[in-house]
Amino acid sequence: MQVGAIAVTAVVVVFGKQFYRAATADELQWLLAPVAKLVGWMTGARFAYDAELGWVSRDARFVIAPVCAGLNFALAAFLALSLGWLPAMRRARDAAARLLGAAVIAYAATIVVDSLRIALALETRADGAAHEALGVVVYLGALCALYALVVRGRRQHVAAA
Amino acid sequence: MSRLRRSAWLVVPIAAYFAITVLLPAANGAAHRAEFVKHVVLVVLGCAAVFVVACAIAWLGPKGDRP
Repeated sequence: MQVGAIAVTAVVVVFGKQFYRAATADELQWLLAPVAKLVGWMTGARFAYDAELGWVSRDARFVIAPVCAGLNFALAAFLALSLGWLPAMRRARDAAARLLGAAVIAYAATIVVDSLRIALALETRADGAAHEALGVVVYLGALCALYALVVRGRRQHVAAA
Repeated sequence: MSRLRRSAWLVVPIAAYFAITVLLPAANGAAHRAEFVKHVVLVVLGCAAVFVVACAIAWLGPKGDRP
C-alpha cells in the first residue's frame, strides 16, 4: 500500500507543479482569496480583486499575484507530511485517511504561512533577492516546524500511549 | 553525536522543499535560466541555514533521545 501512497503523492506533486506554471488568478482564488483576507487583517491594508493581476492594494501599493499563491509550499508540505506518515500507511484505508489529512493540513498551513510571508514582505518592503530570501527562510522554517509538530509530535504521542 | 543525530528528521522537509523548488523546475527545463541559478543559490543557502540552526538547537539542548 505504501507504494500506492507514494505514487498518489508523486502524481499530486507533478500535476500540481504543472498546474501552477500557467495558473491564472481566477484558477488560484482558492488560495489567493483567503491569503488576501488574512494579509489585510494582519497589516490593515485593503485588497481588491483584479482578474488579471490578483489581489491589489492601491493604498499599500502591493499586489498579491498568482506567483505569490504559495502552491509550492502547499505541495512541499503535502510531500513532506505524506513521506513522514508513510510508515503508518499499511492499509488502503489508513493511506487514504493520511493522504487526505496531509492535503487538508498542507492547505491550512499554506494560508497561514503565505499570509505571514506576504505581511512581512509588505511591512519590510523587501524586493528582489531580499524578497526571495525572506520567502525561502519563512517557507522552509515553517515547513520544518509543521513537520516536527505534525509527524514527529504524533510519533511521540503514539510512543507515549 | 547523538545530539546531532536528533536533527536527522530535517532531511525529509528540506528534501521535500528542495524537490519542489529546485528539482522539478530543473527537470522542466528551468536550469538554463540565469535567474533560476540565483534561486538555487538562495534555496541551498536557506536549507543550510535552517539545518545549522536546528543542529545548534539540538546541540545546546538537553542530552537524550528526544528533546
